Amino acid sequence: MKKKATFNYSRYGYYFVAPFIIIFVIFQLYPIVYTLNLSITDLTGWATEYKYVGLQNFIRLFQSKLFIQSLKNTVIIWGVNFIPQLGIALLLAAWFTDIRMKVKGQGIFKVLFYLPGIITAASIAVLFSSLFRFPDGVINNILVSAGILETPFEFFRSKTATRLLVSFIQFWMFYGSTMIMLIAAILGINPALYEAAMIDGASNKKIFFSITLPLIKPIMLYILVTSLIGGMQMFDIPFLITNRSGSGSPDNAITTVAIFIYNQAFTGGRNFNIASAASVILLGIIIIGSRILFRIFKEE
Amino acid sequence: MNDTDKKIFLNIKKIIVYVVSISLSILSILPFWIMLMNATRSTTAIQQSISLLPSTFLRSNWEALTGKGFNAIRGFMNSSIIAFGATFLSIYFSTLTAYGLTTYEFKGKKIIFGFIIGIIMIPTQLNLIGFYQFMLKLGLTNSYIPLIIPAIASPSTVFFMRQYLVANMPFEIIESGRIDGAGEFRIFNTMTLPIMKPAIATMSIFSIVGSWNNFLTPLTLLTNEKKYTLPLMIQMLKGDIYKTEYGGIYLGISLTILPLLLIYFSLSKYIIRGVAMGGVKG
Amino acid sequence: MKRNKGVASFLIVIMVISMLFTGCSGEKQEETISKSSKDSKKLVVWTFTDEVKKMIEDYYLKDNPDLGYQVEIVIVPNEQYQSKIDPALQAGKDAPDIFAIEAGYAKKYLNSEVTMPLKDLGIEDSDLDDVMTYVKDAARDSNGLLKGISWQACPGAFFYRRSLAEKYFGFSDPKKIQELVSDFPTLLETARKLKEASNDEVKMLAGIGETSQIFFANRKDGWVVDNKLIIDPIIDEYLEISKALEEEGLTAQSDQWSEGWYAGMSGNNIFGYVLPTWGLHYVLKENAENKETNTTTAGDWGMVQGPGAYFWGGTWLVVRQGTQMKEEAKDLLTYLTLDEGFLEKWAKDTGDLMSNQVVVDTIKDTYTEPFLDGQNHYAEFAEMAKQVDASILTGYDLDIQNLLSEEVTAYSKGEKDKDTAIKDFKENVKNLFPDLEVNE
Repeated sequence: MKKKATFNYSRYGYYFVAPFIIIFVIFQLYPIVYTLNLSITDLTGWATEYKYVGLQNFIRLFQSKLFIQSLKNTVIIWGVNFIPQLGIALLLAAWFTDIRMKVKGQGIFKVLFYLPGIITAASIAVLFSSLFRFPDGVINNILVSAGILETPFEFFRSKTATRLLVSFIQFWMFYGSTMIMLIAAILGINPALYEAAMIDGASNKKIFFSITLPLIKPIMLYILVTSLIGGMQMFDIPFLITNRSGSGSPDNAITTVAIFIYNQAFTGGRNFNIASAASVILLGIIIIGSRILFRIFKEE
Repeated sequence: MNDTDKKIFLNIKKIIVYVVSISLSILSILPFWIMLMNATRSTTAIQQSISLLPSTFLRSNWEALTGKGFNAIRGFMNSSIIAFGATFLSIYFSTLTAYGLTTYEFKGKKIIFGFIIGIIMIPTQLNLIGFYQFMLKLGLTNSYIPLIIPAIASPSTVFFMRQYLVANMPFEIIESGRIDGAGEFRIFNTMTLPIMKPAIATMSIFSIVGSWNNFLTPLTLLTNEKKYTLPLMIQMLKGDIYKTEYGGIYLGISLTILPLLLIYFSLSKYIIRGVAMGGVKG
Repeated sequence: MKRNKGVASFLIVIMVISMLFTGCSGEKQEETISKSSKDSKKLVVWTFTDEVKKMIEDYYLKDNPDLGYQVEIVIVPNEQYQSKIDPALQAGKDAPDIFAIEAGYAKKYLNSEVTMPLKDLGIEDSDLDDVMTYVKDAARDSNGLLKGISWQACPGAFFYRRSLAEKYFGFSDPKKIQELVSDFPTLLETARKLKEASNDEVKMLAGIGETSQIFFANRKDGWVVDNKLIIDPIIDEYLEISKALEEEGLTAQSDQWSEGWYAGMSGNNIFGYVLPTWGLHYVLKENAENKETNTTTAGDWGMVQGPGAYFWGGTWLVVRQGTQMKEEAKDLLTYLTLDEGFLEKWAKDTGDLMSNQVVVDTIKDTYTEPFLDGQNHYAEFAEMAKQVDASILTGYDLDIQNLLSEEVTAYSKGEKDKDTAIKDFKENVKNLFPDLEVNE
């Protein structure tokens, strides 16, 4: 007979959590510290040794038109994708959860709307860059032969068109998951609230704005923050959609911060120091951005 | 009167809803359908028009694709090794961590959990430079280790697993296991894991898809073409070696997305449920 | 129960797979620790086209069937070549023993520690006496030390379609065609005439990128001198000519290496291409056939110098400093670049211009190229090669020229004025190479 009651299980807690902590420290925490460290050095090119240069890299970045431009690009492309994404997802979620309408085939719609999100971004980028090619891409051929355009339009020379295309792909890939999360959140709302409102004769619109919307705020915050984090790191699509990968063409209109970082570290003079400093700045922006979002949502 | 008006209004609204939903569905499928069809069409035809019907050039596209060194099977194997390896580790250790955090009482537990929640927000790609330089020092560029092992620490999976465990914790089973004299790890492996099946299925799919689609990390770490994953091979297709072989390019892309489509459509139930639980976002 | 079985089998499958993986990775790890030794008898060659692959597989390995080691060829497209090979060279692991470098960035590697001087391999300067001077100059480091060799020389020419010339100008003889394209103002004039005569159906060039190499080659200084960015006055002419070509619709608006650019080679809408030696056999010939209509433009081409002498690209082979396969690397390098027997065969089979003057002299007078309607391009290329000057090459060329071409495009399409274009160009150069001095 062993004394079960006094058997101490707590050490198992440490055992079970240990692998996570160890791997996290080695493969994530250390690299972050290393990135921070590199951001104040002069490590570039073939060099393996470096010396510390203080905040010089950061000063350089804030003076760099291109870095500022890449920040702007990222925000623009993300914003243009996210606002309609949330809008459409909300609309669809409202429709699909409308008890009076009873939309059929929801299961299939959900499956199809989410589909683009799982497909390799690289393949989508290649498809789009070929479809919208100038002057003889398929889209141009169709637009011209249908008489919508007189002459082919060079999509990838227009900053607006190129950014819109990237935003559209991002939108198309992610509105499905946003919608599904919103539906789940709406379905989680206590039905009694709706019943009471309907008995009071409230209109659909009123119910949506005064019951649904306020109650799904937490999930909206979650969606907003994850989208912000994802959006700030946008890389695959803008990297691959241009004729020369990563060039950000036309005129650096789709050079996102992630592309800027990649180009600094892996092309040209291979400026690991500047790339690291840019990573640190981006990390700061994400942390501050998330903080602000949390604030706004909490205060309201 | 008012009632029929309402009915008409509702019906019109319904029609709008269906039209929008069906249009969006088509928008979802169309690009993939175009890609798959293009895989069977000639390069010239692809450049001139879109077709929704297959053609007869599959074989010559295959020859164009493989003739220039595109080894789809190798890419598929590489991507599979990474995706399955990372997924296995991520699922197993995340469940283990979540289990440790819910089952046992120990000092620092709350801090550790808070810490894990906190790091969900850290964008992994921002580690890129430090990670790359570190791997360069360890001589691990061109190895799959940096693409698989870090999956052991997947904070969002831990979070998901913990939420699931809190709701479905099999305390009686654990107790009975202990009474039978089973060790804690044994209890975890033989009793807890099976109960976690739905959560495991959901998170596995996300992990496989995420790993399969990962582009930036392999792009920076893998330099040997023989170790390329499928997304990297797609990027190769974009390079000047293939520029003239659109049929081949689309066949290559189709081959890389087909497994994803198959997984997706056969397991969509789990996936949609997973997304609904707010687990992960692509 | 059934549920449990499902989970168990799912886990077993994943476990088996991951075991396979850990097995593999374990081995790999050992390999890196014990580095070379036993199973590393493999000569690794990196290149950016399949040319070198062909040379090795169809010639070198056939001539040397009993090497006793494997030759592994890794092809990385030019676009990603540097960003792939740099980490490999820096890590020293899975790194090539021999690798190809292109004129546009050769100096970056030659001036670094990653390449081995030829004399360390036992190849003396005197072994290269027959090699053309410019080919050698391009492969020296900043101290004049020879570090690489190329089998080829890459002077450039202008290739045009004989049938189109006949149709719109009434003649197709190279001498007369050269007069139509002898310098850029004349070329512009001809392009206008062609546009009019063909009712806008035939364009002089594929796109504005076509002329770039001629301008680049005729700069007086390299892009970077004493760590300073130098923008040669000729760049101004480049901008103006490009703008004129674009605004007057004298090109097919297709970028180099784009689908439209290739398609023009088998179609009837583009009059000519600015291409060097390798462009003839590697690009033009390979794309002359239209698979859909089963027609070919082979035999319908002619070759002239065009608006200016130039050279473009070229592949040099270098040996990595620190390779464990020094002798083997030397053997392959010598075969591919100095073995006259091989060079002659390769020249005859492909029409590529060799860097070895002796080989060139042996075959140049008897050469006729059916693709060019029997023209002896070889003798002409051999003449052109003598005018090539490699002294302006720097390690920055490819990157800088890519940045410039974006601005040239923007300027010619009217997206920017010239000052802005130049300003942005400087800004972008400074961004990619912060250590360079760039005048505001």
